[in-house]
Amino acid sequence: MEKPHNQERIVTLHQMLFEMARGNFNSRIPLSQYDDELETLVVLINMVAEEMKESIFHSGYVNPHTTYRFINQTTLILDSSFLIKSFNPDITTVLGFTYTEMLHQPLELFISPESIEKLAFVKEALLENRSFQTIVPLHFRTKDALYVSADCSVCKLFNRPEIILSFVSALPQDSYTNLLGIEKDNDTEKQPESRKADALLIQKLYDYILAHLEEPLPSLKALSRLFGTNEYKLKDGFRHFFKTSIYQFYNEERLKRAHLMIQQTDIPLKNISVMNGFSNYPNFSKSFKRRFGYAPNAIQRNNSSFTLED
Amino acid sequence: MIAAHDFYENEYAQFWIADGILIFEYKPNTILGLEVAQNVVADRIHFQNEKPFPVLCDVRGIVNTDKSGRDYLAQSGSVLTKAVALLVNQKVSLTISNFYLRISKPSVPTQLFTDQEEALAYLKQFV
Repeated sequence: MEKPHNQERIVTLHQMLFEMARGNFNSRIPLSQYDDELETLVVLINMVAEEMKESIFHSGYVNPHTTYRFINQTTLILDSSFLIKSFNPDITTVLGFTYTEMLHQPLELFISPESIEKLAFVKEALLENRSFQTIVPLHFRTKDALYVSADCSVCKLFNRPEIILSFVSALPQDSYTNLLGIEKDNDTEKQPESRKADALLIQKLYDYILAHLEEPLPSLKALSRLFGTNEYKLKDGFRHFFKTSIYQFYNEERLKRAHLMIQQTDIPLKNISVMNGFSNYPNFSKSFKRRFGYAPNAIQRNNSSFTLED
Repeated sequence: MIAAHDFYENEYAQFWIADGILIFEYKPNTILGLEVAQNVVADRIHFQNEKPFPVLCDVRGIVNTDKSGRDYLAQSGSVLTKAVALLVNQKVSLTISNFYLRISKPSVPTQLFTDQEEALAYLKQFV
C-alpha cells in the first residue's frame, strides 16, 4: 500500500467518494492493470455509482440536502475532423479545463481510449453520410483524472460543415451560488416514512416477477399473501415506484423475453408462448401484436446451420 | 465465427457442451457492456436452440462491466439456463461477480466458485 502508484490510486478513490457524497454519480475512477485489493474497491465503487445514477438519479442530479435540481445541457461544436471549435461555458465547470486548454484541440484529448475507438466509428459514419445523428456513450476525462460518463448525441448540421456534440451532465456543487433563485421542486420533497419501507417490499415483488416470467402471474391476492401484506399496498406501491401496473410490467417483460427467444431459436412459437407464461397461443399472439405491432410469426427466425445434436 | 455442432466461438467468448453442462468461457480482457452481453446471450441461445442447460460460466476473462450489461445478463441471460456457476479467481472478477449476484440479481439460481470441480459438482444436480 506504500508504493507511490498506490498513493495516486487512493487519491482518485477519495475524489470519487467526495463526488458521490455531493450527489454526483457521473464520475468513474480509471482502472489500473493491477488485480489487487485496491482495484476491487475501485470497481466496486464504480459499479455502486452507476447503480445509484441509473436507479435514483436517472432524471439528473438531485442534491438531497437542498432538493434543488441542476441539470446542465452541454454542447460542443466540432469541425469535420472533430477539432473543438466552440462550446458553451459550462463544459469548463464539468471537466475542469480552461477555455484555452480546450479550444482548437482534438476532442480525442478529452476522452478515454475506449471512447476514442467508439468515436472513430461515429466519425466514419458521419463522413460517409451513413447517418446524421448518433447517440454514443463517451467517457470524458476531467482535469483531476476522473472520468465523466455521458450519453452523447453527435449530429451533423444542415448546410454547414460543423458537427454538434451534446450531452446532459450534473453541475458540481461549487457552481450553485448563481442558481439559487430557482424554485423548489415539489417532486423531490421528502417522502413519507412509510414509502421508504415500501421500497424494500416493492423491490422484492419486482425481483420476484422477473424471476417467474415463465409462469402465469399469481393473482394480487396470492401475491399479497406471499409477501405478507395487503393487496392495496402492493398495487399502489408498485405503481408509485415503477409508474406502471404489476400486470403491465410482467406482461412487458415476458413479451420482451419471448421476442428474444423467437429471434434466436427455432423453438415452435406455441412452445415459446407456454415458456413465457401464456395459457394459449392466440392470447400470446394477440398480446404480442399489441405490444410490437406485428405478429410473432412475422419475425425472421435465426435458423442458420448450427444446432445441437444429442 | 466458427460454427460447429459442439463448439462455438465468437469475438468475446467460446462455449461447448460437456456431460450435459454448457461450459461458457469469456475471452481475456473482455469488457462486458450491453452490446457484448446481447451478443453472447444471442449466440448462446441460438447454439442451444430448445434445450435448457446448467451453465458453467468462466468469467475470469472479464476485466470490467457496466450496468446495462449486468442487467441484461441477469434478465435475458437466464433464458434457457437451469442454473449458473460463475467461475472466478482474481480479486477483481470476484468483486464484480459478487456485486452482480447481490445487486443485479440474476433470475436463475447462480453461485460463485473458485474451483472448477466444485462448480461442476453443483451443476450436476441440475443436469
